[in-house]
Amino acid sequence: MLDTEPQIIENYVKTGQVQIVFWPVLNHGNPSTFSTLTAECVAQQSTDLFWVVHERLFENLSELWSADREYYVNLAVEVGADQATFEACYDGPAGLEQILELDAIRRERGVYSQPIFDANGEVFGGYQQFDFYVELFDLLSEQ
Amino acid sequence: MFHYLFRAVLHYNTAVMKRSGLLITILILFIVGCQAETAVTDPTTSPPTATTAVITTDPTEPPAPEEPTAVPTEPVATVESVVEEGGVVEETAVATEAAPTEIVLQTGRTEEGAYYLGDPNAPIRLIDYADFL
Repeated sequence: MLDTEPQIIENYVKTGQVQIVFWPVLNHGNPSTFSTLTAECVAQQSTDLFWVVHERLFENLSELWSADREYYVNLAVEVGADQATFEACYDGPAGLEQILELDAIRRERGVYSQPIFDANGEVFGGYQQFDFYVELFDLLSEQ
Repeated sequence: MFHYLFRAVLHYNTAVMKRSGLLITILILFIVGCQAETAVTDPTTSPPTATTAVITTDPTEPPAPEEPTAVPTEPVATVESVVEEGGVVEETAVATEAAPTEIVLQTGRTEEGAYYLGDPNAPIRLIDYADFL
């Protein structure tokens, strides 16, 4: 999605045709949990910053397997989050409860792997080329 | 005799050294003076600053439907110049098409707590179920 997402944003999100919703899936233990918790705690300060840290996390995917608390605190500060506020969220229960709740909801919806996409009820898996989305969005627009 | 010859050579070398030293000093002063004239100081410039995209933010509560922020633009008028016979220049205003309206990206949080990008009223909602790993 990282390669195709900028094209979708430029051609469909900016024009008001598509809204993108990121739904976290925690399928890889602590690395998934803490990376998602980082995004959650940054987003609690600014939903704009969520998308900045979202991109940074995907760009640095290989580092996340061994990332520790210090790594995530530094990342949060780099993208512009307040350190003290972030650490309070990261170390507290509320942020963790939120992402665990979202994770539970996706299981209830039958989503067990990732990435899975749902476009107005049309569910498909795997990363697709931009042309696929062009056809899909054209089809959904006609409905 | 050798003693006198030695003193003569010593006296001669000293004179040469004094003259050379003087020449060297003059040369150094000349070079420094030239560099002082040609030195150019660059004006101090402020370091580049990072820019971030500015996008509007919705409150974290379930957002009320709202129109995306639009920036309408006025039609741009251009001037065409026509040189007629006899060198007379006639200028006419020609209205061109308006630049496309810029949509500012919205961000926010859904009722369940997931984060979104784009118009909440968009006809298509694309949910991306994904792990950062």
